[in-house]
Amino acid sequence: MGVLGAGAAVAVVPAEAAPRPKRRARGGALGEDQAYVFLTEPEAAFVEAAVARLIPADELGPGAKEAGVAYFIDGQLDGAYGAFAKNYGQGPWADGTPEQGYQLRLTPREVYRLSMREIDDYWVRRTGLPFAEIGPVLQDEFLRDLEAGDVHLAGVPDAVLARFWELLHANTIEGYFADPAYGGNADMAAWKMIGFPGVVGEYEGIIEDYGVDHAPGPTSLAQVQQGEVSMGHGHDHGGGPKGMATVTPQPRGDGHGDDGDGHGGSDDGHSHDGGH
Amino acid sequence: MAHRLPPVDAVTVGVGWTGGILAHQLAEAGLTVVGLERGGYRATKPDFQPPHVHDELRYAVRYELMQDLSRETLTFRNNRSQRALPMRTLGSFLLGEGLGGAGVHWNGQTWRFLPYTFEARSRAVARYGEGILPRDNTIQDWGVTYDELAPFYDRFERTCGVGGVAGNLGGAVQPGGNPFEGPRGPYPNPPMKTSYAQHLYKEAAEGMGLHPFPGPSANSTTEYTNPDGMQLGACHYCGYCERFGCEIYAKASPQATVIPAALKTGNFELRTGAHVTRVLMSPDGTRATGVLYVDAQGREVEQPAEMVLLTAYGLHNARLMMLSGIGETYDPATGRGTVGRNYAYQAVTSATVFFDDKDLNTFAGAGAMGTVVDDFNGDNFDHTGLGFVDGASLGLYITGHRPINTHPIPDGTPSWGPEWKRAVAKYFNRAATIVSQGAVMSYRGNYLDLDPTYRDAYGQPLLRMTFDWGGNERRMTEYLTDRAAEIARAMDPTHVKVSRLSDHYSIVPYQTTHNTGGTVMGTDPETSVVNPDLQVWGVDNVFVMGAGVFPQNAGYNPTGTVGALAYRAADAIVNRYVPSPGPLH
Repeated sequence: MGVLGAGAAVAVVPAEAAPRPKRRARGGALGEDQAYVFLTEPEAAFVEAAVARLIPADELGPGAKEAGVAYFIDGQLDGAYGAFAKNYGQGPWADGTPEQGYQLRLTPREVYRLSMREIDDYWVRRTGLPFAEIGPVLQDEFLRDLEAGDVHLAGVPDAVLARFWELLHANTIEGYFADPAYGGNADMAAWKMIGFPGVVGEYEGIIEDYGVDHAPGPTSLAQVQQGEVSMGHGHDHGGGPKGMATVTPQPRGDGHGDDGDGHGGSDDGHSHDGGH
Repeated sequence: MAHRLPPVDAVTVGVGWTGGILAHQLAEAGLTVVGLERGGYRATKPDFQPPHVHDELRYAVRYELMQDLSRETLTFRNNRSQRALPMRTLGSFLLGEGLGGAGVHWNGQTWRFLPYTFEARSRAVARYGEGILPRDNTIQDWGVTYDELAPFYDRFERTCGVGGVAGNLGGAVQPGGNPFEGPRGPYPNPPMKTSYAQHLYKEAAEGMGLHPFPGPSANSTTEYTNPDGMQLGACHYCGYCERFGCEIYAKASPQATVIPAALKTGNFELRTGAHVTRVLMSPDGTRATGVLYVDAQGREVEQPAEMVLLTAYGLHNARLMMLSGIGETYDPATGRGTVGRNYAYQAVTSATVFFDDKDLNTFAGAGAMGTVVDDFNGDNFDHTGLGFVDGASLGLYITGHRPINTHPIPDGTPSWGPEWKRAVAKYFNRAATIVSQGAVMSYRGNYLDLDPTYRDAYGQPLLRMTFDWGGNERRMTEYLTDRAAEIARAMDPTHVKVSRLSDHYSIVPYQTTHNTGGTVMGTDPETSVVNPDLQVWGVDNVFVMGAGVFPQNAGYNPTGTVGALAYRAADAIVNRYVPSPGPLH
């Protein structure tokens, strides 16, 4: 990464230097040890500023920045998604029609990195400040131009900027609404705001009770896994319908299909390695 | 040199719904069957257990259960004048991978096609004349009638514990069911519950003189034991069906039904991580001798077999035939060849209703919890003067709204910022969508073949898809989307948002995983790949399953028909082919 304008050096990231009040990792709230693993400091500042404009804080609830969406994006870019791992990355490369979809050589990681660098360079040249510091009015205007395809920068092809917008917009929404385990949606605030119950639900009793808001308070993966909340079915029953053991194709020990059972070993000739 | 294994009676290439059905039926009849699944082993426990299976990002957005495109994808173009380019990311449709195939992540909407559908060409021409058919169409009859297939629909519905309300019990129209369907017996299970949004849809449709009914569902509504002794749980309406595995065995899935049933026979051996690269043929090309596959350790293995059953997803079956030199690949320039011919899809449009004053609890749902209007499907209405054939089912389903993929906002709302946030918060629980699931006809220029440039991880050519909407789809969806919008407005919502057909088919946005054609069935070897028992013309010991055999698509989900055709083929193999191997037609 090139060194950006002087303004970029201003610390915006909530790193160790500015400790947050310690919060329990209930539902994946931002922890005091939260740190960026892929994004550099100026990149993190960029992403925090951008997601704060895409989903701002208001009386309805925290915005994407407060919900930790920048940490979500950081984690996604650092992992298989950022590396385009489950996607087709072989050439030859050619421009296609819009109907043929994404045809760039760049992985999501590279799309973010290149675009943010060029956008910051542009703003530093124009104002002396990187995108993160130009203020909400200019940020909103720029994001609207980016969405409309009206941003053209010498160092990055238009198609890459278009992809950057697409990813930034989609990833912000993903991080805001995904389980807090992925770094965003701190305290499940986004789920509370819209009335989404999260990972636990047995709803046969409320389906036909019309006109009443039945959304229970949300539950996260971590709450269930840490035993704070139990699943209403399956998990606790420890088996499928009665006799289900007979249909478990991987006989193991007791044969009752208890949790943790059935991911068969090599004794039956099934492989778990072939598919991915 | 490939490692050569002892021969077996039959090998299935792919172990999902059709591989599982054939394996079970043949193994139960005493044949030795090997199932080769290129993906990994998966079972309801522990792979699809909560809480981890209720993770929208992992399963519905990052496609945990779907095909790894880094190993194999396909290329796409709208027409022959374009250069096809790889589908680099999943979008328009979601190919499954792993044991159970797409049968793990389906929704469970389990339809019987209309009697009309199986004789689409002859019935349309008889009623309206040849002129109603679109330009350059290759629409054809299936070579099997609804009445011939009905007993096998019964069998598949009992395997899955399908719930619904019969609308035509042996010829007598019943209240509350689909009055347009072919004659049938009662469903094995009662229908699913009706959510508030469906209730509003039903009232509005009835008020317009239409005939709404509960969509047939393989999300079992009771604790149910199927004819093979497999037990299904009762659906809890948790809202995690499509793109997820079902944790309580309520959504009928191959790994919970036909695959364990096949294993119980003792005659079926399942091998996962086994990627078939070729069907091996006799020197004269009239007979398959087995298959070649790459195992999980990268070794090349030859599995000789008396019968080769192509039971992968339709697109993969077509490609494997082309790679193996079975039959002649279709050439749109000359019209010669049949493999790859008549690729079709579905034309999906919609009308979304938004209520300021009604909480719909849309987080609660099931993959097949829906209310459907069939008045504008198939030939259930008079097409005179409309300029198109066939139609769409108009369904309001609440499959469980999860917020990353589903956060409806009215027209005119910005796509981000404070107004967006307010709209999402307001309508997440107050909106529902009527989907028009439109039939797609077959045309001379829509087809599959092998790509000349791009290759998979094994160095083999990718499949190339050439497809765009035809005239029938454009005219039909205009009409059908208007009908959906009318019902939407009759529900008295605050806003209606209408989504129409794109100018050209795009591989980018998700539409539907109902790809059809490429290995179509029929009575004429000049225009079909397989005969009405799904046996390849001229290669008697190869059978091809899946929606690839549909000569054109219908306005319903395909799995019910895929299952019925597989049971019918199994019946033909066991009772007619095995006693006397040779052409069945």
